[in-house]
Amino acid sequence: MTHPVRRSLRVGVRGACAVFGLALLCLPALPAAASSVDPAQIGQVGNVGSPQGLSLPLTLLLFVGLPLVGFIIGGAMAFRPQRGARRRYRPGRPWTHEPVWFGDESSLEHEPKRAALPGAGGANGRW
Amino acid sequence: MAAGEAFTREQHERLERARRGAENETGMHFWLRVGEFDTDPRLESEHLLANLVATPRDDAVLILVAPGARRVEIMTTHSARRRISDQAAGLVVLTMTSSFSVGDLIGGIVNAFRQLADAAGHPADSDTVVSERPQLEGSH
Repeated sequence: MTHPVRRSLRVGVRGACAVFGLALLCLPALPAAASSVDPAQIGQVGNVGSPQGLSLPLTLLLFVGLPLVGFIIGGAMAFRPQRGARRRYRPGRPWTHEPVWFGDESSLEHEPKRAALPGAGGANGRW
Repeated sequence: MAAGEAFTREQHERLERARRGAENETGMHFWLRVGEFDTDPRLESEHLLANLVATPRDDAVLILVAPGARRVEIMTTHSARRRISDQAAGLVVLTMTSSFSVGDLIGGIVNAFRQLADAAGHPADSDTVVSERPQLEGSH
């Protein structure tokens, strides 16, 4: 789970899924673009799709700029800080938090009543 | 106490629910502290439990978990030890450490409470529960 290669692989897959998802969002725009074409021009090869050649800035924008924007958005989604990830315990990492008590520990605030507990039992362990 | 720092609210509630569930089921007192030890773990937990209980005859259990030092300590009072033997506590420690070693702090503690409550049984029939379960005979 903590293996760095597996983690980066997971992040990569997540990024790819994000880009694919964004591309899917563009799908509804395609029929709208198609319907805007004049029906009389359909079938005239070389006329409908490309009435004139693309200019250099537009080519760069379409084939370099847009994919780049997609990758940036996908990457940002994959690497965005996750809520609660900081609080997850990882074995071997130092624990810097203050002690947290569960149960009423208010009696510890008074003067110590006893130093020992005769006959106490229990167990301990390490991991 | 910085409760919100170490755990999310949901995690905090899960731990508290597990602790209270064990208390209701057994009639014993349960305390849990997640934080580092200041002194020797065994001495510290004994000293803490000695001052948490109203009288040394109370049925009470203290669980200390030190995630940084990777150490867990379960301390039972004399009368709680008759219901939760050292052997049973050792099994609970094993449950906890196996969860902790894969990073599941909350799950390990929640299971520990459940297992401790199972070992202790209900307050009225604690003696019969102990005699029904051969693995707990070490408590006598």
